[in-house]
Amino acid sequence: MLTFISGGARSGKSSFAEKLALESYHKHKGGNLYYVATSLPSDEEMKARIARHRNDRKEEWQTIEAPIHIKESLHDIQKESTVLIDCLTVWLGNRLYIDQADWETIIQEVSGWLQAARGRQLNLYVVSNDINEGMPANARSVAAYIYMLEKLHQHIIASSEEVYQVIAGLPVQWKGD
Amino acid sequence: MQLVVGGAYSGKRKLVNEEFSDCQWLSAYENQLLDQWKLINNTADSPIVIEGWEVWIREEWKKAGELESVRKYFESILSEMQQVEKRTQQPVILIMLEMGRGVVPMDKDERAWRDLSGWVLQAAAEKAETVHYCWHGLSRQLK
Repeated sequence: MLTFISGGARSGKSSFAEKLALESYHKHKGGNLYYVATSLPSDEEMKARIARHRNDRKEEWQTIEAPIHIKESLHDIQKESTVLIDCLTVWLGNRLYIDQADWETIIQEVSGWLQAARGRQLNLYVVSNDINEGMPANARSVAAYIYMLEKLHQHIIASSEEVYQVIAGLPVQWKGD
Repeated sequence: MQLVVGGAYSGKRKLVNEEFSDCQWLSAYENQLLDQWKLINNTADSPIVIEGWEVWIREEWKKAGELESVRKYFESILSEMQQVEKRTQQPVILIMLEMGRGVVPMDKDERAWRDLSGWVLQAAAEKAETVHYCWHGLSRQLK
């Protein structure tokens, strides 16, 4: 089961996604409950933020730090687990700017997540950002980043059972109601 | 008149292509000028899609440099399009870009561009009989 959640900055999308994942984990009780963290702790402020985030989540969660490679983790964990990837935007940025992956590698990795979710009966939640509704990007690299992110959104949404846009903490359901 | 609005790469053209076949396109992205609309709309024998408004808006702002006059210029074109559509009975589909959801630009021209694009979008939504919003390849009818 695949669920895609997106929204603007500070829209409450992560909290909403965590709530959904936790509820579903309690209902199904299969495997474990994982939080896939994509941020690289680059400075003290980021480190504090990650620690705060981790403290906010209850002890039921196990955290996987995966700023670059996520697919392997999804194959290693127990079947039927519930997994929350937060978030696609940061992960794509890491792939493009840290390990300079090309589009082929990126789309294959994301397809790998979807395959793992299906093949291993994972309950997968993917969180992302709406960043395509601001001023058109001047820099080519930024426009390319937004274009790729949109492609990934549409790719994930096509396989998703449920899709939510979060506005001011409130979910607007686009698919699966 | 029908309006399709959404962010960059959100699937606006895809939606139009699914709903209408054999459209005639007037596109700023193909370096076409908005001025051509009259000729195209008056003689069309198929639905007309008009896209790239933010490009025309930025050009008009560069030329005129006055918010109110640029706003009025686009509002009057939208009204005229509505009239012509009534007469010719060929559907007019406007594709417009949502670009107002980021931080306020520092640059004065960028701010004007963003403001004008928002106002023209509102005017189009008011005049349109249907409005669809595209989001990551999905769409929803708002009007």
